[in-house]
Amino acid sequence: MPMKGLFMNHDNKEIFKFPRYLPNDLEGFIDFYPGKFPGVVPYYEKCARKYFKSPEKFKVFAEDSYKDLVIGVNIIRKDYSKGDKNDLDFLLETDNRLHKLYAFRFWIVNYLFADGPFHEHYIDMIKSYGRLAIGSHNLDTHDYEKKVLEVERNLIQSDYKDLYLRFALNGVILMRSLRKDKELSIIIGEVSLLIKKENPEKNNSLIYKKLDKIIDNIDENLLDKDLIIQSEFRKSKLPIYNMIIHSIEFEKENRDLQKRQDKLQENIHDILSTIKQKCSKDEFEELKISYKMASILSESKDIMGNIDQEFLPLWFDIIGKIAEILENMNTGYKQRQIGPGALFYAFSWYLPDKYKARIFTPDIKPFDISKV
Amino acid sequence: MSKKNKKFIDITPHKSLMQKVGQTGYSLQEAISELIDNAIDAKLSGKKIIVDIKINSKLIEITDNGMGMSEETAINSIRLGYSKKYKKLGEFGLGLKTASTFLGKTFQISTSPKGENNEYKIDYNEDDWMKKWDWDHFPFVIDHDVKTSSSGTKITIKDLKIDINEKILEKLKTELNTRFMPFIENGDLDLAINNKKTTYIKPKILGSWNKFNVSDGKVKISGSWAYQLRGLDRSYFGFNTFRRGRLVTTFDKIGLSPNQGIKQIIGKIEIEGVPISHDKKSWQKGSSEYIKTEQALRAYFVDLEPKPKKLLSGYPASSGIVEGRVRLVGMFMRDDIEKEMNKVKRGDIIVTEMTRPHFLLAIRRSEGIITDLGGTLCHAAIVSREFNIPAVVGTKHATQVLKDEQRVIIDANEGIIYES
Repeated sequence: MPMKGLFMNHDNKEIFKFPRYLPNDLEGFIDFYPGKFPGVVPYYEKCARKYFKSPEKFKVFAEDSYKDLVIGVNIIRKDYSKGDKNDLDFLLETDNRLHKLYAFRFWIVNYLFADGPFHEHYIDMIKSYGRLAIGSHNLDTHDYEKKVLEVERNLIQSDYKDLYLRFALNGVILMRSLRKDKELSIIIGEVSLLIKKENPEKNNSLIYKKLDKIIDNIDENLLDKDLIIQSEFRKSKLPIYNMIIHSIEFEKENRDLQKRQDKLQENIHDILSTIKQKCSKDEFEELKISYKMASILSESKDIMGNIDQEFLPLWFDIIGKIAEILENMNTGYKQRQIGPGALFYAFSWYLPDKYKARIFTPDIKPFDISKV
Repeated sequence: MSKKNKKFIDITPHKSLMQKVGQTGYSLQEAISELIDNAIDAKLSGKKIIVDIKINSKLIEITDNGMGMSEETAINSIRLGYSKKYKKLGEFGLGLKTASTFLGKTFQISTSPKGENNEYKIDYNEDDWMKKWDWDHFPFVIDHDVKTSSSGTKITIKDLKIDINEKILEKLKTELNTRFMPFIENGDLDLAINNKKTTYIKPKILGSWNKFNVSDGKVKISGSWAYQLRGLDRSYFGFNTFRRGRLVTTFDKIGLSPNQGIKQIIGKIEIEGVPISHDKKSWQKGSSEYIKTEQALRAYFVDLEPKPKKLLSGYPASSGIVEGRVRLVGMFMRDDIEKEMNKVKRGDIIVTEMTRPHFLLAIRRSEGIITDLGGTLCHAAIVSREFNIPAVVGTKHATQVLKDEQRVIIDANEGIIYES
């Protein structure tokens, strides 16, 4: 039977409005970017309308944004490598360029869409329709609510495997491969015992020594690409040690996770089929869109996250240099834990006036990747 | 002047009463429990009673290795209201008949008493009863010289009046476990359903069980209680009450506040001296003994009912309710990832600004996650859902409000953090 009242509310203009709050916005960009880059507001609102019911188009938008990010970071990095890193003017200008690129290509996808009301809307839809997948027959309140959570969890998680899940599931393949080797299997047993001890970190050096034997014999293809990048970036084997320890310590749990994952697609199919019987064609279409969109938003977040390895070292180098200069200028600035938004909440108070004015003057030029 | 004429009339119950007693509103679990009660009453001293239940869509068969019934007891077992079991479980003499006629149209009692080579059989069939037999004319079969290895009784019920499906069977297992918990726990009873032995599943509690005794005149209450975390059904707390080791009520709020919060009292109590209803499903609440019991329990528990303080609230990212020790972990833009990660021990509650994939090992070791930042799609929300770890995200101030080592309760169904 069709459910009146649930159908997507096209008149709810709030969904298309620029968000006023973002739950993950640690650096407080929601307060700064609309003022500094006013163009980001109409740009977001235009995109929100354009992609509202078009998950596939949103996916292309996110992928294109990511491509631009890579291009932009490479251009800025190249310019930065040629410039004078002791020149405050140059550093601030480079920082500003990064902010503009970040606001229009990263923040919009990763925060405004994925953490804002746009995404929240689809989650609400999934939750509302999800209840239709459960018959009330023979279920008491406890079992009914448990089912509701199970359905929501399956639909919201979708069949997309994010970085955490990929790490865990790769562990299953890794262990299967290592267990084939008798000698390595014995080492796994020894490491497992050491991990189970009261304070395993006390045995870290011993554990690492044993893991080295595993790493020497490991097929590199079994390690996640991100893990190798991390290891190279940190110039340390620790990320790889952690991954192997995790695979050993959670061997059984990861296998269960794999089983759950294998069944997830089937479960989702069953849930959607049941709901299909209980709502109108339009309503089911709405659910399908919501499900796809939530999944793509999740996936996009992961895709955008890949740029961290490129973006953050460059950005932290720049803001580190600015902090150093400000300290040396005896401005009263003191080192503190800062993030990419440091310019606005930390440095601005100590900069010479002309730079303060520059930072707080709105940049109204439209964003153009070729002029990044 | 009126004329009085006194005569004596026949008040033999109408034959349909036999069928009607089965319409008392039992559930499958309650009906089968009645038959298990009888088996427990027939327990041989010093020997564990083994009750085997075979159940499918065609029949229900309950077999025990108890003392069996003598000829006299077997004959009386089919009589309505007959019982010699004073102060025992089957004291009303109705259970076997009400339960069996509730479950099916036909049933057979076959019993072999200890020390005899005879087997006694009673076959009841609803149609035959109405057409052929009567209160004073009912077939009773004796098989002589039966070579049985042990004594015991078997009740076989056919032409079932209820649908048996997997869901009902699951529920049956759970409820029988709860009902006969005291007997299973102390090793007096082995209960198997379709060849699968049931095991007592201990409820998850916080801390340990506390024993207690309260008495007021003839009323004696003894048992144990503990704290549990609220489940999805808020009313699943209170006591399982027992009389002579037999479950009378579940989640009984006797003596407790009807609405308890995140931390609730559960327990099992044996009550002596309070009358119960003939179906043994409830206490007689109007009796002075029941009122005394309620007052005594209220006095005992009034100061023990917990009221944990709410500390924070946030977005409920991954459902579940857990209690644990706070472990403050800096995951945001840290170089010393391993140092932070090593802080987390199994069962800890991670409290952090936001989670990062590089901290996966610590996340897997944790029992719950609380973050300052985050919404539906933040890393913590995604990862906690994937790994089934209760999480509350976007609390804004968790890393400032909560202290390392502090014990807290995460209600990730509602998005609230309580002090434990």
